[in-house]
Amino acid sequence: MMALYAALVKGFFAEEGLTVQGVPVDTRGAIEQGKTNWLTVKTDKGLTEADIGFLDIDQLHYMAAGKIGHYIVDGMNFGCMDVMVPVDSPLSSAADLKGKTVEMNPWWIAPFRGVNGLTFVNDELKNTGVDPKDVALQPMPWEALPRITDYVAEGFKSGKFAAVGVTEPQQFLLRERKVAKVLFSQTYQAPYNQEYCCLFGIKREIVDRQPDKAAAIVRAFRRAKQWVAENPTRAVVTMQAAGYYPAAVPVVPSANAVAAYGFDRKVDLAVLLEQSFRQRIEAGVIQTDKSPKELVRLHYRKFE
Amino acid sequence: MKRMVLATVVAALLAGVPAHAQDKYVMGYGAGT
Repeated sequence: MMALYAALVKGFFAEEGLTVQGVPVDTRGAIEQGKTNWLTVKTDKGLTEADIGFLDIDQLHYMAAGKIGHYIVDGMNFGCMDVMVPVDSPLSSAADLKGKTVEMNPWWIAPFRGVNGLTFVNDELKNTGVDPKDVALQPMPWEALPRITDYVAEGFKSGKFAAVGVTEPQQFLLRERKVAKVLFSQTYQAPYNQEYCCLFGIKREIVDRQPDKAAAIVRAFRRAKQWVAENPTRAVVTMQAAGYYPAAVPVVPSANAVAAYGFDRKVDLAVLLEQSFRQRIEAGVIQTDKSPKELVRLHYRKFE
Repeated sequence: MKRMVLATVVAALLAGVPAHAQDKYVMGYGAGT
């Protein structure tokens, strides 16, 4: 998310003559009301879709089904999630999770994130010889999130769960407090960090009817990505001071992760998206009669 | 004549000319954490 914060705080949108208001997504509301797009924000008219913001690779099943009102217009980061175990745990790989309970963020669930849940979790289990059905993947209570380090410490101690699935910046707090260590990582492990987990999207009607504005939005976003990539520590400190990134999160691990997210990685997004659609069609996550290339043509708009 | 003008206006609207150009945008951020 650091690039989104930077686009606001460093004034990259404003420099393009754009007026952009940042609003936190209402993930809980989106899930509880059965929404199909993570870019859901709360307004006085109820839950609506934001104009721009992040899209998630594990919502491609909804995109292929025509249920996402945004085009993908750029990539954002490669990885932001980890599965963690107690610091003194004997578990050493995903293979050791067979028969165990894993509590994960309440937005890691199906069908909000794929029909089987998160791709990198399912794939890592399968790659280590575990049928995902043999692991109890359960959502954490929403109420646990504001006190996640205490909640996870208590859960490990009581044996309620053997591992947790967490998202930036939760893992940095859990590591610093010596509550948990990483068992496997989307950010630091291939092939999971070869695919964008988070993408940048713009509402389709803006791209179609205001292509000049859409191009300006993409330019600002790319300048923000580049600034974050070149200034990871400064980005963390600046976004903490601005109130976008939690002040309690340790700076150095956050900056290391920001550097690893690949904000400045040069890739052909159309090629990556085609692979992502293909993998999900082959895994049965996306049911479609369209080819991966056709899905890219329908849902991705390239801005030079 | 009036009918022609009306048809032209309707055709322009159907062609995708926005009723008003959007100049403010809402950006959604954060994953739930």
